[in-house]
Amino acid sequence: MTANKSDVRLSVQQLRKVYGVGSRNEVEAVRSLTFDLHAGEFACLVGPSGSGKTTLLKCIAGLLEPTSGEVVLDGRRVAGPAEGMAVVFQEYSRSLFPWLSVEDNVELPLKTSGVPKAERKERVSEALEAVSLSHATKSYPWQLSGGMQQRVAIARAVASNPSVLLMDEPFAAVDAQTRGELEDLVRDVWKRLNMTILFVTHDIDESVYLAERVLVLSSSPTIIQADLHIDLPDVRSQADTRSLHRFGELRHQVYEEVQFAKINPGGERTAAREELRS
Amino acid sequence: MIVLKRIGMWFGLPAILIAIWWATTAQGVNFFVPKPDKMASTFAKVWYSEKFFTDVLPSIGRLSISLLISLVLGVVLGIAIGLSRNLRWLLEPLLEFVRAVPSTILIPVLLLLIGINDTMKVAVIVLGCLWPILLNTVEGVRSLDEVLKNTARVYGLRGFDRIRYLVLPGASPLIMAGIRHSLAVGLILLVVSEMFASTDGIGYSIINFQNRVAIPEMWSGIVLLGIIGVLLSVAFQAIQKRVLGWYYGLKEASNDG
Amino acid sequence: MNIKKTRAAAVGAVALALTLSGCASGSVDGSGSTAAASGSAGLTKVTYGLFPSSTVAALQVAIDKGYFKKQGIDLKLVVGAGSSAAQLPALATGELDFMLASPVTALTATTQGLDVRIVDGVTQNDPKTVEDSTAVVVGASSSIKSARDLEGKKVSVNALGSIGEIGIREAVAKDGGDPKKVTFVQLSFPEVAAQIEAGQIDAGMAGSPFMQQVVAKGGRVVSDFIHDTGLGANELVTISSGKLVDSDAAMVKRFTAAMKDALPFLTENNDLVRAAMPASLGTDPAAAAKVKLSIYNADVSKETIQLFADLLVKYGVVSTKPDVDKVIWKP
Repeated sequence: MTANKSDVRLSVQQLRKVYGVGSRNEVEAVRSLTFDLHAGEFACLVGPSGSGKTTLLKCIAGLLEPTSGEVVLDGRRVAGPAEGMAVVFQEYSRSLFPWLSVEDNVELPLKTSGVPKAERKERVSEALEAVSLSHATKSYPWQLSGGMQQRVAIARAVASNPSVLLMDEPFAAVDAQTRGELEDLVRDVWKRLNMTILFVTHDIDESVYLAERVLVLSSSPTIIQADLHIDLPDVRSQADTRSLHRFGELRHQVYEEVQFAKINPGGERTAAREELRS
Repeated sequence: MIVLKRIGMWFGLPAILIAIWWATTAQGVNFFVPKPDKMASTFAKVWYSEKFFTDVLPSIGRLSISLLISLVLGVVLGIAIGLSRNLRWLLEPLLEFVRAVPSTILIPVLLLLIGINDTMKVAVIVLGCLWPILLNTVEGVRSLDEVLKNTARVYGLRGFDRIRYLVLPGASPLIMAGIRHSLAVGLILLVVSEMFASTDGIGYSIINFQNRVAIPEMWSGIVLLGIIGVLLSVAFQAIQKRVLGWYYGLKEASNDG
Repeated sequence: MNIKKTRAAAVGAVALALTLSGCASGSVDGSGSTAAASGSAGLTKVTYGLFPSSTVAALQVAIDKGYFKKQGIDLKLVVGAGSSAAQLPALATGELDFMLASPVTALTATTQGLDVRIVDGVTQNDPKTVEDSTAVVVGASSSIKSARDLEGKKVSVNALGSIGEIGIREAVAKDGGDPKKVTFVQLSFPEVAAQIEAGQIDAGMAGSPFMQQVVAKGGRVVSDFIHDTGLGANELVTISSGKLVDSDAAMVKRFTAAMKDALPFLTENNDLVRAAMPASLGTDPAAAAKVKLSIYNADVSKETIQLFADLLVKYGVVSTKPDVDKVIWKP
């Protein structure tokens, strides 16, 4: 699946976020982030803890206002939660409405944005089928396992037909086996529906397995330290792909970057790193 | 067996109380504590008559209207205050102050301001019942899950939709708790408001009986209040079960998990 | 949850009942004054319950002047807050030996099966003045001129089912109106002026000084009903429990003897009573000086008590006729 390079879905321009501006506890969480996401691309963001991943995601989603810089979605500046952006959060149980059934949860964003009933029903059932939850439409989220709940969240995101799907460490709170299933599910959904996904994770293996492109963030104040292309085959599987030699190489590369990122706040040591390399 | 057990639990304690009552009044006559069987016959004589229409229905009517007003005002104002940090900051001290004043103390003032009519009684009841609902609604709105709120924002849930699908259901457990409290308070206030300057009602009847030294009749009024209280509680719990079914399921799931 | 609610309801009902029956508190408010004599050795301790009124001051004067000590009685006044009906339980249990009450209270109590007796008179309505007891007043803008005009109107009384209700109905009947067509609402005297002004009631029963409040604003008395109906001869009496008069007739005799001596003295010396009001009741001395007092008389008039009984039956306050002979105690 090649990305259409001319079609930029999401553009982050010199995004900067400082907490507590002007006060004594001023903290520069994110110094400057610049990258573009093209239509149909699957990109992962990795970084050490404290690298402002969540801050970045919140700014992109419009939940947090950047101190400077801008986020542009489909050519329009993001100044608050924008239509065309869907988010899957890490805390799935807190993200689904416990008083709504699975299908009502998936339907809700469509309902409130005025989609007519017949179309709603169709989109909902398609989305639930895509995540293999057609049998659980009338259940309530708290009746489901963690993995299934996250699938509902994914279905909800998918049904809303977003321009860009943001995923904020969505599988961090899920057991390893389920995580594998969900990773495959996301890739499947991405391919079938031709989605554009920005996936934030701290799991290096996961980032390589999932993405076409891995962006490594430095530690805070964050910049983009590296932008790696993942040239693994299109068709991937948990059993085989992870044992490929190329997988190991890429994994090693990302791992190194992340290790370096830990001691590279603000990207100030980038030059030094080049020296270290040679 | 389970049915027997349930019946036993429901009626067990009251049955024991009545048995004790019977035993202690069996010997001798205490004028001011009638025997259970006399109580029962007096109860039927007093309330199974036109008094039901002249006194019981008006009382129930007043209580119902007051509770309805308290519910609507409490929830609407509670949501408005809960969603607005400025309003909260402005009003919270005032609300805590007013809530601390038992509305029964205000009766003489209300008598002056409103007069001796149903409006005064409703005012007394509402002033007592409003606060549990309002303050609980504010708390319920404030304590909405952060992740859920962000989710709602991301998916464009705004304005009335937000209230209907997020705020109201999210705050409903606390709101229901507030309503339960108001029910108890409301019944008491109803009776007290009817003891002053009233022309009908259950409280009025009780005071009337007391004045005429009609002790068994006075007790029958009190028993009636107890029965109404129980009925209100049962009705409320049935409603609560329906409205908060999801909440109980959620709690149970999180307790197991 | 179910169980808790039922239990709470049961407990709450019992608590409310006990409070209303006065068992718990006995409606006893210890704001009355103590016996004047210090060394009360050899004196019988006797309690007398009453509600706040000028009679408290009057009896206090009688105590201070030694009328009760002379009969070997150390009398303690127990001033209650509620109506006399609320103090009845204290009388029944023996907590109170005597009580000041309207004959209505005694008579209705006996029809309900409580054994109370009238032992002596206390106050009489002074036929010469209106302001010594209670009367019906209306506001300045009212069109009501006499008792008859109260037909179809809303009148307040301080306690339903007592002298106000039967007295006003009888006054209306005597004046040619239909006594059944008066609506009564319970309102304490202090509230009357405001509610008349607000138009919430058409007329109100009020005593001193609240009656004067209404008159001062341009209102007027339309019915001196206690006087008009002949109920004034025994407006307030001393009652006691049957148990006490049967078991300790000697003490009751001494008590009534003291009253027979003291009450005429009090009638002759109204100034002493007025002077005692600030201490006994907390009345403002200037207001106390203006209060018109009732006539103090220990006689019990059988005709008057019978009239009370007849009116109680006539207006449906009681369902069985009280036995007046049994109720009036004979020494």
